Amino acid sequence: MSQPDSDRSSSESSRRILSALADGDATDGEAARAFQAWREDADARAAWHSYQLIGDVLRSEDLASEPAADEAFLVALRARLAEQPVVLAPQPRVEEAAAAIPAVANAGAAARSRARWQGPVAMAAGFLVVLGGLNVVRPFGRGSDASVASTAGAASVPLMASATAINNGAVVATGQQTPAQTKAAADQLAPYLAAHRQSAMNAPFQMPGNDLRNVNLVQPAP
Amino acid sequence: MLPLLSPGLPLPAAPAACARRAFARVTPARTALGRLASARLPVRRALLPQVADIRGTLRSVTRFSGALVCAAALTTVSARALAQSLRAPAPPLSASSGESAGDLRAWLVRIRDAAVRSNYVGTIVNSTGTSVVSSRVGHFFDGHGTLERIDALDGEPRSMLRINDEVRTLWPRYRVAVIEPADPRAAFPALVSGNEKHIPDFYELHVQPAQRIAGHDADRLLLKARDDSRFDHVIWADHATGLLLRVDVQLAGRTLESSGFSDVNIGVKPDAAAVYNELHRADGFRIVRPAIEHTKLDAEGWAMQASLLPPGFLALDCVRRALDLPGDAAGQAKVLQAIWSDGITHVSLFIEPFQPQRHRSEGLTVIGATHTLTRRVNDMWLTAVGDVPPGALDQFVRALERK
Repeated sequence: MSQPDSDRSSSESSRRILSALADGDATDGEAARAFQAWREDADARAAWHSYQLIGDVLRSEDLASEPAADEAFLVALRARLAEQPVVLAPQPRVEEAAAAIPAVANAGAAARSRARWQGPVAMAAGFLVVLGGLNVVRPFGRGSDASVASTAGAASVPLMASATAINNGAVVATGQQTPAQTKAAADQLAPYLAAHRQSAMNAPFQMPGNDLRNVNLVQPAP
Repeated sequence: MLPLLSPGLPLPAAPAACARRAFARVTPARTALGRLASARLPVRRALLPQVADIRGTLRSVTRFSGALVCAAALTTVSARALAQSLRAPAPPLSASSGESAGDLRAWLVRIRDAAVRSNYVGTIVNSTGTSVVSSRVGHFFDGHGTLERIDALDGEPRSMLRINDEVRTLWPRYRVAVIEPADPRAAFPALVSGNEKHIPDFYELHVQPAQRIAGHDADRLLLKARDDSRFDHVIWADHATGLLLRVDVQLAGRTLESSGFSDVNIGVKPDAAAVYNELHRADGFRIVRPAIEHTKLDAEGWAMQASLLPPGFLALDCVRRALDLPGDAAGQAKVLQAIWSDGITHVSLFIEPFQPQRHRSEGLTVIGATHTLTRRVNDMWLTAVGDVPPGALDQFVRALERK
């Protein structure tokens, strides 16, 4: 008979701790024990839900829900998190950008000598696109038979997640570029993208600031 | 600390129920007000005689010195009614497919009008699926002039200030201000001439069920491409004002890129200080003025074979401009940029002499919906850019020929 008594005592203890946690009164140690009880004991999970339910119903009848809703919510949340795309944070490339210094487009720039750009006050703007969403495709046929890719073909290839190429009328997947190749392509394309976006800003469905977004580095001349 | 989750939280259910009942009573009234605020043209026409009556009443009432309070109230009513009548009308909202060309044009006018005339402050988030960038936007219009401030919230600090037809991009860390002679409307005047009438030939308009975007009830439109030369566009516009709230570019129902407000306050009081204070902070910055020379493709010795171009794209402009090209520190590289549009999206074709030290990577690059195709043709290097499928870019590149 002592075993059931012990179980009951343990159960009551975990209920007391869960109650304290719900009230925000649990210590760190108690909170850890409450989490363990919640993980391992279905009765504890039901009790926890009951405590929350009592509070919710007191606030609004609309908040009443079945105990299974907690678990369903967690499962759904985990699934949604797993589906989230990985955001690749772009890193500034200070030394490389300094090595290849693009000049700010300037009416007078054509007349200036290179030496003048090396003066202490000279500035140059460099552009580095956000690399996160960039995929580069390696060469496709330049011959006369390199024909147009169909959008139906493109639809079968995840444009944002892998490289694609046009070759002989079909869009095919190719290997990813190395990071160095991707950076080189980004450096090469950034000014074209900026110029294009500026010219496209008056299209009817452009959000404000679209022409600012892919430029993220200005580098002074050495 | 009052525990938020405490079962003993002293919040009885009765007041909550009362609040719900009160809200239920208020909601229909709110809805009715919202409908009135977005009244369509026939409704406003019906209102105009009432406004005239109110004005007449106002005149007679103001003859009596003791009725000033009443006059003020009536003036407010008439001003609001007039303001409503001046706003571009919302086109029909029935959820259906294949709307008429007139409906599409009405939507375009409404959205463009709202973009110019609205006062709003908000945060815009652009997502390409693998990268997310955001910016803070304030746009103010006082009936005469336009002020706009856009602060990039990611990456290198930079702000764009627009004061009427001049745009300044400020780079505070480097104390550089890039001043461009005008907004794109002036730099590319052909863009406002509009080829909207051709849009229905290449896009099918579907008015879809309304949704809630950034806290606002929004009308949702689908511009479905009729061929493989362009992408679908899904557009959300604020139901009350027509302000563009979000744009998705899609291919076969899959979103390639999304750009829209995460929050926006529409109808705010114009805040000129927000723009001018930032402008004054840039005093002493080094001024850079990029140059753009307008020209023509044929004057530069080029021609496009019209039969090879994707259908629906009309030439808008051709400019010669300096680009900040890597490996060209002297800034001497000038490229030719020719621009086409199908009324919804633009394509640029850049033409320049081939330079082996710079032009190494030939092929296709994809960033969200923006595709870029680079190719060497004899001694020239071509770069085609646009929110269009790669096949369309390929057509532009192959249509170019020496005269």
